[in-house]
Amino acid sequence: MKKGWGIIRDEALKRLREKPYTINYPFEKIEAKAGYRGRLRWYLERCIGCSLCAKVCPSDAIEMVPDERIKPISKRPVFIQARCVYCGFCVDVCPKKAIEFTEDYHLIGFKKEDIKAELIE
Amino acid sequence: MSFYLPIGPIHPALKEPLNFIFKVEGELVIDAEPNIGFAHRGIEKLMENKTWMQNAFLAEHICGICSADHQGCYTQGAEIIYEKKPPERGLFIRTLVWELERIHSHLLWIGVAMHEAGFDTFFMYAWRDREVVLDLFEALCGRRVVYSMSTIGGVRRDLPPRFAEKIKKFVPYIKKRMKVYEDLALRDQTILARFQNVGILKKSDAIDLGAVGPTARGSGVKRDVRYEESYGAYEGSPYRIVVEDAGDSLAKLLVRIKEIVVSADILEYLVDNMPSGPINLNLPPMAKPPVNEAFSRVEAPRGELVYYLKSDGNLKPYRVKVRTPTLANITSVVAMVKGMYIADIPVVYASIDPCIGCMDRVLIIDTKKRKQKIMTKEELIHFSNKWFKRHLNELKEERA
Repeated sequence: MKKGWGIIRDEALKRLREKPYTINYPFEKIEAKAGYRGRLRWYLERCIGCSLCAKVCPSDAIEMVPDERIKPISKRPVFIQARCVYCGFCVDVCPKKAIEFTEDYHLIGFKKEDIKAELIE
Repeated sequence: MSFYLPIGPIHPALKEPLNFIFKVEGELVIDAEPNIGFAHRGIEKLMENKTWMQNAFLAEHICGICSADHQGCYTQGAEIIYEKKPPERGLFIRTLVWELERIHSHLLWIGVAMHEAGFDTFFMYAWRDREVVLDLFEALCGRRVVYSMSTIGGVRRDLPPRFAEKIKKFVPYIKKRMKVYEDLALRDQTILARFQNVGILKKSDAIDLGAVGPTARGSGVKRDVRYEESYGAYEGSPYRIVVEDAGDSLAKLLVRIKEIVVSADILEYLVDNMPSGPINLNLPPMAKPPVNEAFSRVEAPRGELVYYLKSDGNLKPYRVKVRTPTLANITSVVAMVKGMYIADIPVVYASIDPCIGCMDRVLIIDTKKRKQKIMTKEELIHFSNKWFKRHLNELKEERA
């Protein structure tokens, strides 16, 4: 029967032979898994201006502003990405699949305005 | 003793602001008084201003560690309000998330408790194993901590391809690790010196004070919602209740280690018996419920979680009431800490799995010297680790 310290000693010796489990983050990066809920992406040509995303957003992170390019309703969403809780409710309800998640999780900035959604216009 | 309860739900995550006043005589604690309500965020009131569907995402932000249980408990209650029954597959996936979360929460607690006891090596190993669970969550839900899986009428995402294989690989791994943990908990001198016969909660006290979850089960009380009523997909699962009779902090540690093994068994059952079919009912986001009220409870990792919901037929709830397990357990700390040393406070307090950071400011009143000093959590841990190094030999005889 092993004594207590023998268990943790064996464990430590086993781990010493392995490489570190953590990574040196800003210099090394790991890929997010498929289906990760990261930064939002919005497509201009798919949007119909229905405002459903702004209505369902639980954190009021989406505002509708006038935009002439969008037919039939001349409105487009503006994403306040810093308020987003990444629930994906807007992605689910969008009838034209104009909003989707990217696998980008590096949401870093010195100001709130630096954290932006990706807009494809 | 009188104290005021906060109106809102208490944030049961780490680093929660909560104030405890311990009355000490020399090194011995003779009384304690918890002061809660510093983390009041008004979430219950905010829930009255959001629609039923949006509140599912607000509920999961009450707690970062048991977010799936909060969301699941809310949606379970909302399904009673809407008079809808979610499809079988939805319930199975929801239960899968709950059980994975229990493993992650218990591993996190083991790490934190070991850190409080000054055993940082084990803390690192426990969190390393937790990382495996978080990777599974990332594959399943798309996020590592806040899952957003449940919705009214089922779940929002189906299992990703080959997820069952991942679970099949994970179950033997975690069971093997738990054997190592159990060996360590029963034999390691550091753990025995800091956990054995520390913070004993008697069975009668646990019943009187209304302790829930592992705190009650560590004192020999058979109290578990999964045991009392079968909700979700627990009916037919290999669930068994884990009870330890000692009532000390070591018993609570052992209950959690053994519960991880039970959860691993349930995970295996869930992926083996996963039914096919739809995952949710696709309710419209602006669906109005009938006039109704609901009472929903689930077994969160920390204990019984209760939601009361009331609808007046509008798009928004009339009233939402949340009772978190930490609130039920916080009075047990007072019973557990009496007669202990000051240096035992971090371990005793950690043993109920509250937010450790609650102890940000500890006011110590020495009744003999009539002196007051305020210690932060880090100072208290530093003090207790130093104190235990000094008194280890005396304690070995006392606590054998």
